[in-house]
Order: sequence, then structure tokens, then C-alpha cells
Amino acid sequence: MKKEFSRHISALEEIFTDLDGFLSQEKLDDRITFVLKLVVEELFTNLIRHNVGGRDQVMLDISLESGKLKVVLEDFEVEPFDIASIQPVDISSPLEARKVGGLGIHIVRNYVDDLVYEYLDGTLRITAVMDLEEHDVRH
Amino acid sequence: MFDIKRTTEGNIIFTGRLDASKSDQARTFLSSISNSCTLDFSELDYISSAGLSVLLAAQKRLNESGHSIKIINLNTHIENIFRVAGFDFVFDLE
Repeated sequence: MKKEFSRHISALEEIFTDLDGFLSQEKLDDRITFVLKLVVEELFTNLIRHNVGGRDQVMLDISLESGKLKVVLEDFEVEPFDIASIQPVDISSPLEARKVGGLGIHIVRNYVDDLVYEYLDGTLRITAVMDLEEHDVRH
Repeated sequence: MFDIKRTTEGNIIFTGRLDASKSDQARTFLSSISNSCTLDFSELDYISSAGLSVLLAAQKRLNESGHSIKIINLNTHIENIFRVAGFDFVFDLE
């Protein structure tokens, strides 16, 4: 699945519809379905919030090869923003000390096996890889 | 699709997919709550960090006046993301 989507939060509806089509075609189980949607949403919304500049469209490319589910998001004509610079969340803090927000990348890191940030000539690319080999993930 | 409805027993049922495009709807609803309440997630299929942040903000606000949110009937995937986010420490889950 490779497609450009509007750089707007309202594009999530279309993204989820397309993900349902991909997931149905690949016959992946409920857990991976949930995790893939979560990872795509978190990376997409993070990109919209943090990247400065950018075209109206961003590219989403999802593929499944050799038991690895790969999500690639590309944002064009933007300034560099490394997601590694996002401060980690202390999830053990008591309620009074918990800060609202900042959970997205923390969640993604917990669900994927590899998360790579690249920046070249104005294009920012984030790649998340989930290794499905260890799990029985097909219906 | 995302929806919020109240039962005659007073429980609040979240339905569908609470993603970033629906978090304002949840925020507006929860901002109207001023007492302890129970959220029933039995019909909620999905939640992302945007939804979690809305819940956390409401819990913090209610906690300041001695109230809290209890969440019941979470599906396995949502229960797991609550653990990843450390929400099992800040919400009463059942």
C-alpha cells in the first residue's frame, strides 16, 4: 500500500479505511491490526504537529515482506526534526505529576522492533518495522 | 466512527474508534463531568495517545476535587496500551 494523504488530522479517516483494506488483504490478526493502526496514527500525527513547512501531502508506504511489516512515512520540503529529540515520558509518575501529552512516540517505541529517522535534501523519512515472525498473526 | 452515550444507570459508554480526529469530541464531553464517573469501554475498539491524553487530563482535573474516573470492560488491546502508558497506575480499571 503506497499512497499520499492530506497533511491534516481529518485524513485519518481515509488512512484507516485504506489500512482496513490492506489488513484484510494480508489476513493479519487482531493484535497486529490494532498495532499497525496505532503506529501509523501516532507517526502521522507526530509528523503533522512537529514538522515545519511541508507540502500538502505526505506519503505513506506499508509493506509486508519476509515476515516484517514496514511502515514508511515521508514528509517533503520540511525542516529536520528528529523524533529521538522528544523527551521520554515517565509513566511511573503519580497522577499529580503526570504531564498530559507526549505519549505517542513512547507508545510506538513499545510496539515496534525498529524505528529509524532519516533526513535528506528536505525530505524527512520515518521507518517503523515490526517483526511478525515471532507471532502467529494470520487468521 | 466514535460516539458517547449515557445509560439509564449513569454509566458512560464509549463506542467505536477514539483517534486524534475524535479526541475533541471526547474532551468536550469529559469537560462537562464534575463528579466521579464510570466509563464503559465494552464498545470501544481502539484508542490512541490522543484519546489517552484526554482521559488523563480529565482524571487530573477530577482528582483535584477528590473525584476520579473508573474504566470498565477494556478489550485486550486497549488494556495493553493502558499498561504501556502507565495508565494502570492512574486509573481504576475493571
